[in-house]
Amino acid sequence: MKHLISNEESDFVKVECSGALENSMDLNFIEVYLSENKSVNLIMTEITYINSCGFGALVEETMNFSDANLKVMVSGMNSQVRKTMEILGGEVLLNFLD
Amino acid sequence: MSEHLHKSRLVHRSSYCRKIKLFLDSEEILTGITKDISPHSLSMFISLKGAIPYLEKKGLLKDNKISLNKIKKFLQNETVLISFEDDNIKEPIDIRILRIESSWKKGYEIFIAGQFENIDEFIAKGIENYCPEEKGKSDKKKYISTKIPNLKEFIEEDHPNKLNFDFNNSYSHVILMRDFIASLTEKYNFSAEDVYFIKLIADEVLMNAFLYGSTTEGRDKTLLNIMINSQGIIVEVTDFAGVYFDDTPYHVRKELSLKQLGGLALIEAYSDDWQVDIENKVQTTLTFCKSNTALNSDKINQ
Repeated sequence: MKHLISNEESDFVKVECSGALENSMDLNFIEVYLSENKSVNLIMTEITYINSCGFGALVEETMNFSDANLKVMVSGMNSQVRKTMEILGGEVLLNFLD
Repeated sequence: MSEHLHKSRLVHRSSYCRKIKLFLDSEEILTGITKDISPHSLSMFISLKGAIPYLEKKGLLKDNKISLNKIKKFLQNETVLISFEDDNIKEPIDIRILRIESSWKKGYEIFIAGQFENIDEFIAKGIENYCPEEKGKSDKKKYISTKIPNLKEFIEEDHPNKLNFDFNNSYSHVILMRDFIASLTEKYNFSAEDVYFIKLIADEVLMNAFLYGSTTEGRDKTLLNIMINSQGIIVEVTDFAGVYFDDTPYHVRKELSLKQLGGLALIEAYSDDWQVDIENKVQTTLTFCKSNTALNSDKINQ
């Protein structure tokens, strides 16, 4: 998975993600924002594939941020990625922006 | 967030990943996660990103890049300490490293499988808390698919392509075989949506065999049998650990708890049907089928 920081404000960062979210450590890069006390919006328009490992990583990071009263938000998923997230419990476990 | 939701998340968290520390020696501590713990062994994904200076000092780099072969020689069969980042087991535990694999495309993560050593009764109890429950396995009625044999009959009528593979358990083989299965379905003109779903199901099934099918005894291998033609595909994946799991809740489609949502929920949602055959502690075979919706085989699903 690749990522591009598209907008970085004082307490909120937008990150455009592309490729496949399929690995337990694909999202490690956002932990830097946790240490900087910033929430993150992952724009997933270009994410073409997600499996349960990638979803697990997303849930883990969402919880890590939540523990620090911060948020990981996700938006822009294509229909297949969105459906996969929903089957895995994304409506409850993640913060969908759309 | 409501209190209820918060509690749900806490339960779910325990079923997904557990953070772990691995002590190479007193000066280097690596971090990672584990999803797969049994009373005797565990597997984990460990990040090497912060350990480059240490690896360099130990001569484990080649051309300034991490050398998996050197790391294998360095760690294979070594006993190291690990600790969990929660209050269940406070003391570090000895683990003998049995397998090391590369797990990432980025080159900074390794997969390690190992066996617990020198565990006392108290630690064994703590480890049990991490393990999946095996309650009620003897009185469950086994689910037997009717769609798989029906589709098999249709495929066999029309020049089926039958492929058999026998490979060592590794993450790279999971990716390789998953992508191979997807490319096969493209060749047989399955719809783009079918290809996506079959790739995802194969990914989850093969990954389960890799994560839970690794054994410290017997064959550390996966068998893959594929039967395909333009009518549909049947995939059979066998590992030789024979770890018990209860597939009933997925087949009866009752509401699953958050803890149960995972790869099996995707297999249930995206395959036409699937079936598990478990010989406890010997082998597990998961078979799934999917007809080619571009041809629409309603009769298969009758």
